[in-house]
Amino acid sequence: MIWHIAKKDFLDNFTSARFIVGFLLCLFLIPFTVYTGTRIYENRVEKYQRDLRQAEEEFTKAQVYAQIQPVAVKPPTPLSIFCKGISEQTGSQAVLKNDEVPTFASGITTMYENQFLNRFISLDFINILVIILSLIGILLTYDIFSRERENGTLRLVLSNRLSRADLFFGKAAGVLITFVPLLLICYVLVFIILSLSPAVHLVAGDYGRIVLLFLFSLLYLSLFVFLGSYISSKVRSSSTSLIINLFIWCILVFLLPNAMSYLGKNMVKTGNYGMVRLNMNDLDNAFWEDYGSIMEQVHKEGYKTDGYEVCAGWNYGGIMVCFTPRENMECERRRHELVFPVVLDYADKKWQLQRDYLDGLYRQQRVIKYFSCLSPSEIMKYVSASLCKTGMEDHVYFMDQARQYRNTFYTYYEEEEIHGGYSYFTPHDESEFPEDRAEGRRMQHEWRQQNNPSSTFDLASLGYVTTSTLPRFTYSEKGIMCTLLDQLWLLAGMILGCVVLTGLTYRSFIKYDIR
Amino acid sequence: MLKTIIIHELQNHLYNLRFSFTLILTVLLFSISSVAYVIEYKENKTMYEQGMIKLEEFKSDMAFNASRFAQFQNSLPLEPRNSGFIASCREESIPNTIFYSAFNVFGFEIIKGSKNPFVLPSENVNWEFIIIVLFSFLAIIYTFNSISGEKEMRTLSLGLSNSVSRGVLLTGKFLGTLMTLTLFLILSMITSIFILLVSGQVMIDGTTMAEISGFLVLSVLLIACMTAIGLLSSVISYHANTSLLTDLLVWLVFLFVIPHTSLLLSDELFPVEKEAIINQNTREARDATEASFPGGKWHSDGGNPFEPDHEIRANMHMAFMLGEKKIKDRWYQDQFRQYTGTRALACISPMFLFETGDEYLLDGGFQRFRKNWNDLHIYQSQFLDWFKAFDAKDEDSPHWYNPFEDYSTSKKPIKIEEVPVYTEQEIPVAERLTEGSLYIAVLLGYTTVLLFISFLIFSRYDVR
Repeated sequence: MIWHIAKKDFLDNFTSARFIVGFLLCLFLIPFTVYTGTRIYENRVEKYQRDLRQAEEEFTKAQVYAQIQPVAVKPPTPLSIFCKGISEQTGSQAVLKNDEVPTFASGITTMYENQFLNRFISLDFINILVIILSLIGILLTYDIFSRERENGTLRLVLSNRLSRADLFFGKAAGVLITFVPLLLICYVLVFIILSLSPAVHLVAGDYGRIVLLFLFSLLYLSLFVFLGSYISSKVRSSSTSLIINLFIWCILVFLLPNAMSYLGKNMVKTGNYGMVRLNMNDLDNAFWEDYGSIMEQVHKEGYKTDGYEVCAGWNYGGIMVCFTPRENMECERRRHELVFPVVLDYADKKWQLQRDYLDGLYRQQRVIKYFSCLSPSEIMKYVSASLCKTGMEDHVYFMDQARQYRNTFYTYYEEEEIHGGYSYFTPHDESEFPEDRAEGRRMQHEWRQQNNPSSTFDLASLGYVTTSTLPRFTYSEKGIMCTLLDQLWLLAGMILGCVVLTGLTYRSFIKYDIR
Repeated sequence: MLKTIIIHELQNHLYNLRFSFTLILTVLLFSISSVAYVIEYKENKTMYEQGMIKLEEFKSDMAFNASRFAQFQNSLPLEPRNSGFIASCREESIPNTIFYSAFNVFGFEIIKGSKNPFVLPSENVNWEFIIIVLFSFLAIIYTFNSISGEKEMRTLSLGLSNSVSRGVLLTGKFLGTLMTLTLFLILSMITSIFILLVSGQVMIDGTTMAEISGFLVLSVLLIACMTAIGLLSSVISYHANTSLLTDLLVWLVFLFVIPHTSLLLSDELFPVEKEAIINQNTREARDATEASFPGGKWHSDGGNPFEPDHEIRANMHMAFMLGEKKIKDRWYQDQFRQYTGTRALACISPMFLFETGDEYLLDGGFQRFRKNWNDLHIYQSQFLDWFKAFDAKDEDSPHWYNPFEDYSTSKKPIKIEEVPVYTEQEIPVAERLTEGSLYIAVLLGYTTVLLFISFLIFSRYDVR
């Protein structure tokens, strides 16, 4: 009997105007949105390949060790087409300089490069599901009992040998079954658009995540279905039920998440990043004082220098010195030998400030998440972002790996004493150093005659350093189980919400006055 | 008769479940928004002031060398607005810091830390947000069954059997709803202003009051427009539920679909060159500039400002900067054009018209950015004139202007109080309203047309 009722309700709903209008709205919005999402993903893939190439060139095109500034690059995920999460607010690469631990990733790829367009609302597939499907859920259930009561059919049906429990489960199943083809069509539509893009390659893990996303979408819709049914079972008039349902929908989907997020944002303060930067500048000034002392020490040790013949790059950054007399080169080597550990030390000191600031941001994010998860739409967004690898957890995981790699890389420099060698800052072999300025100029002149470089600082023909032994960055992403564990409490909350609402609706319907 | 209908409508709303629920909800939301804003404003103001003090200290340190001072790339963060509780104009999401020196206004960016990048995107719950989401929603909830509902209950034919014209009935219903919602709005705004005043953090002066009044007028216009939409859907349908479904669809279309679709179409309709291409063009221009300068262009001698190669070097650096400026300024103008074009497209939605009207009224968002961007260009030329005048007095300087290095211009210390200072100009409210009058007029026109169509359709409405 449950099946008969479910089938009848399914057919009723499937042909109702409210369902068709909502469905058409989805059909209009989804292709547009997914197409744009696919385009941005293609841009990301292109950028990732470019970044990866450049990161590799840091090693293959390095002429001295000082020039190597490793870059950690995170591959884009095709699942960002489903849910953007925070992917448009955070970058995908971390430049790992010796003088600073990265606070944020760089290389943000947004849908539109014009930053003024951030002013407009930009939706993704999950946003559309969150808004439209929850509305359809409400619209299909606000009169699930009250309409039948108003029409007098509820009394008629229950005068047969049909229990209220059967009727309740039949009706609920009817609405839920209506959503399965709707959701399936939406997801298939996305797959069709994705399959047209040559850049999108889904792997087995991605399919698993999409299946979970689909199931979670159903769970989210069930919550609204049971909410609508509950209110319908509590009031006698469909109009009243509709008004109450719509109010609750508007509050849950629009007002509560934004209000809670705004409140959370202002309750937990994160400090000012501009101030963090200015305080880091103070540490930079302190470093320069130490640097002055180191230079004094170098001169006291008897090293002398009167400048460089050809110098490209920055003081303690990616510097390269060429055709410079031996005496100056020795001084330069000693300078780097002493300065390098101090640079790393100051980077660690700056990191304390950065970490405090980041901790504030993480804390604020957590509070906002707890607050806004009073709304099922926000739970849906957080879980989706996590499943689509575009949530905060995945980004933090990447940045932690990048920072860990930075430590490994520069520790290797220190252990192998790379910074204390000539190859740290010059491509010349020690035996090739000119004895004085005149010889250096002559060497340079001869070299330019022979190699005809394209510009003043085109020094490529001086050769490259060996980098095969240097540690390299490899990104390992979070597994699906890890993701699920991260969001377990949200999943449990949603399931609990559904169960409680089902129980309440059932209880209410059992006592429903059908006259 | 009109008065009777309005009073009847007001009573209808007053005794309805919707009334008390809505009143509590609106007052609560306005209160939450005010409390949160007070905390936010206090924090932002403190951070801004601390940042400016630190920046001034940094500039004072720089004052030992006039050239370094002139070349220093300043950032101009925009001060938190006193009227931010009305609308943020999404200033935290669009570029909010401009970089400049005496030689150039380089560009702009969204300053890092303007908002937490790890939080999922959300809206600031200020007055504007509440009006756009809640009051527009309430307007349709209050009107969807005005005509079709009465027809279903058969009270419409009864009402029209009296000596009341259809026009008067519809006007009465329109004004009744508008007055109810305006009442909610005024009560909520008073609560909010009270909280702001008690906090002592936000200064509510004459300008703010004028802004609040202007905002109230704009809000009433938006509510009127949405009420007219509700009435229109009510007169085109014979069932209240059909009317509500139509209203919800229109509401969603105006709230999300139109702004979102405008955004999707922006690249197609108002194309802007990709950043990668601009960077490549800049690099190529730089390489071409470098190649066009003779040998000695990279030579420098810190001990001798009059070293002849310094003139070549200064000219080359100036050419680098001007070459890049030419490319970038054109790109920035294209971005501004793309934004205004997309905004015009999104103004099909009355909600977006309202937001744009607010931007003008409050002198916030893009309007504020453009004003500062233009004013800063004027200031930069004054700053450069000052530096050139200072440099001209220095006999130890060869006066070869290099925007990035201090080899060939004055290295003498400066008195920081003699340097021209940039201050953001405040536009009078009347002038802002004049600038935004187009958007206000369109919103008004929208409402009038919708009401007129409703009248036309209702005059032929089958009340049986």
